[in-house]
Amino acid sequence: MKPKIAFFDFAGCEGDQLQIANLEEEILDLLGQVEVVSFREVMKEHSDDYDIAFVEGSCTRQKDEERLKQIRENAKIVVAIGSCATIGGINSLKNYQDMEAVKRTVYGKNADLFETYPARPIDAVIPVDAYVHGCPIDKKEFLHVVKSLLLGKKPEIPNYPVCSQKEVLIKYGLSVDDAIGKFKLYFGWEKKK
Amino acid sequence: MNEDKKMHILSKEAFSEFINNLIADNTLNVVGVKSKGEKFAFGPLESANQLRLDYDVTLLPPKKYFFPQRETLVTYEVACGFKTKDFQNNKSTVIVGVHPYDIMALLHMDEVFRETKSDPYYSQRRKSSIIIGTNIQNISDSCFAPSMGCATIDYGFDLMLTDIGNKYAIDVGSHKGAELLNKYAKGVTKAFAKDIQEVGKKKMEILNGAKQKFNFSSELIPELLGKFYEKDSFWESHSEECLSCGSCVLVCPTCYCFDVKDNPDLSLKKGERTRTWDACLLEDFAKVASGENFRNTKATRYRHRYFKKGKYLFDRFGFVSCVGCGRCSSNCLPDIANPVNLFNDMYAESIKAGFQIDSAIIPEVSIDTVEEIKFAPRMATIIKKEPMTENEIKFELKLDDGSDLNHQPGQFVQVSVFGVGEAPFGISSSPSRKGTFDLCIRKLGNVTSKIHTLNEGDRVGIRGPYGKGFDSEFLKGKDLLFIAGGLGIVPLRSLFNYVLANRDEYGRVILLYGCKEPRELLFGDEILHLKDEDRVEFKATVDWCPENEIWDSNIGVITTLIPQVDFDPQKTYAVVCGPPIMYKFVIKDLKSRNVPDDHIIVSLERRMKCGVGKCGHCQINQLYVCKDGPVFNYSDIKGVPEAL
Repeated sequence: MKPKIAFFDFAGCEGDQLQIANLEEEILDLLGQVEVVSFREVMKEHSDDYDIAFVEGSCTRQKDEERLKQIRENAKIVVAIGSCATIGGINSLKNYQDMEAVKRTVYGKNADLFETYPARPIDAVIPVDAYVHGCPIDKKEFLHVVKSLLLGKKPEIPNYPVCSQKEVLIKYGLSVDDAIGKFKLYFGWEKKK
Repeated sequence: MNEDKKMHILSKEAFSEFINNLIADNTLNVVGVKSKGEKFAFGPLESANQLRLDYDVTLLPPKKYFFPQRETLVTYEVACGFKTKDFQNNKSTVIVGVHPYDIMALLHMDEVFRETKSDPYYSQRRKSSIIIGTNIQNISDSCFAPSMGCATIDYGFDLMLTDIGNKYAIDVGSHKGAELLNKYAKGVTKAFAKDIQEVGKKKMEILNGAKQKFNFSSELIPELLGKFYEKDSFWESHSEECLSCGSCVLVCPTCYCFDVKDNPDLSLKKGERTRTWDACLLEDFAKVASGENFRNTKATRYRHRYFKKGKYLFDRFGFVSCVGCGRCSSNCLPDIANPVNLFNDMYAESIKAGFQIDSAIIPEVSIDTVEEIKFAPRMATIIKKEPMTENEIKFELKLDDGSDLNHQPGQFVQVSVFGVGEAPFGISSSPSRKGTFDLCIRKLGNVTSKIHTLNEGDRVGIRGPYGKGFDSEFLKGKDLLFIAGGLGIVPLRSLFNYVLANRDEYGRVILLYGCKEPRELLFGDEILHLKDEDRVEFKATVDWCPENEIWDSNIGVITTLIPQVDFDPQKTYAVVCGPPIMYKFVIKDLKSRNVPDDHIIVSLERRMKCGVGKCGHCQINQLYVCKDGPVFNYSDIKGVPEAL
């Protein structure tokens, strides 16, 4: 039986799922290996019976926490995809501003109808088994992670500075792990050890 | 002198035509130095106009044409097994514009890739290539090739160009070069004395033109390094700003370390195994599956780079494997990779400290190729799967071609699992057993976790046996003291069982075996009853025993067993294998019992990736565990600081 996979999105632009939808021919090969039971960007159907959950977006309100916990309960494996889900992403920019002001900027006079709190990556709420970093994610890296999981292998994501592509990291002397750690620290959802 | 080895002259126009003729020949793949932004790089040539022989240095060295950044070693199909890649591209590659230091670097790489086991991919590409070198016209700011004696070169090329105004002087270095000139160039004339003089002058200009210079002779490097290994503060202060990014070694023309990974396609039924450049400066380079990192600080990794180039390769091959191209220093962001600065600092400190530094004596080297590396594993089938503890399973395997493994006790094999990868395992059965062999595998990383899910009848790939095992012949007639800690019993079992199978030929046999707690005891059924046997003296210990388990023997670490046995240190050989932490303590105790150094034999674990002494992952100082080990005599490694 093919493993069932589902996609979920929280606060984010859904650009990572778009990357996956853009796999084009490879998506057909992928469908040979898995059954997609939920993928809002490409299909209407939805099912809560899935093995692997791919979660995009960050957690920015109480309601998100409940939904994340439900996903964790349903899925055997949870994969965070994209910067918002893996490190909080660009949504975290609001974290040091007044939340009421943030709401008013975004929703204007309807601000009272919405709730929000500082953005966090999903592993601040639930345990995550694998990560596909990036904004947006790299299609090839996504496939690498999926293939690894299907083979029962922990996906290997390199921990060294991505020299040629990410000059910034090197410039500030950071490995990928350092950068992620610093980012989390900066936006206040990881306590300084 | 051979007639075609004389110097020739070609006008610049005729030279362009020569290059264009090469490009026009579809049987040749012509590459050369072109501009890339403000820098230069080797790339395919479409016309002679693209050639920039006035370049200072290229971003990457031409080694990428022989040892590409990424290449497929084997392909696999779950149904059929592994297959070596076909060499479809039989085109000769002509590389135009190689500087002398890069030619020297290729000569170094040749030795590395042909030593003992030759790399078929590298050597085939090397054989089918033609090198057209060029003397340096503009020396880069970070180049120190003159200090390394690599600014000019008299061999290693097919043709060597020197720009002398409106024409090129061409040295012919090989038959291949002469033929090339004959076939594709028109208007070649003999060089006159003044041309030859002009070439000499150009070379002198290069030799005196470098901004970066050693304040001492580069022949002192190996000896100088030897004096500085233990100066931790020296290495720490020089590597303080290191980002562990690996740029210095990834651009190096003499670096050859690589990583091997499996890339399944989306069917998951087939895929390829690729090797990619790797860097010993990266944090995880020497990390093994159990989490142990044998070079876990920036300073030790930084030091390893200098020692590998300046000492280890010198001891093995007789050359300091740095050619002075300066790429490392120009690519280092914190600007700490310049060997000139480091060695000048080192030299200054050694003068201050009053060290006597002599030129290193070039070791006598004989590099032979014994065989070609076979990257494609043979297939083997799991005959029996027998759980031993919670985390360890014993697998009995049989090679599908029906042959025996023919291993020495103590050797290891590389086991491949389709799509997941390859990992090394000590063989735990005696070679006296025919037909099948045993591996005892602890679940730790990806490969081992996957192997644990396999069942009887499933197939895996096997490469090997590899490495140097125990010398069971030499040990005949000696008393043997086996000391095994935890998983260390696995490789020892191959010798232990061999000895038991040939019991009359050995003296006393003592086995001391310790593990953390009773339920972690391996081969319990097999060895616990040894207590009651005359032919073996056996003692076991556990570090501790939880209340719900039963243990009626010694409690304490393995060293608590050593005082409990009497042995004659002159007649006894101790055979030791266990977790890295164990060796120091066991050896100390053996020494206190007057066991001579050469009576202690150890089996070591490192991250063996290629298994054939090339990829660099298992290196402990100058030794490759996969090739020089995993079994070592203590007298050979007691001076090797990274070993124990």
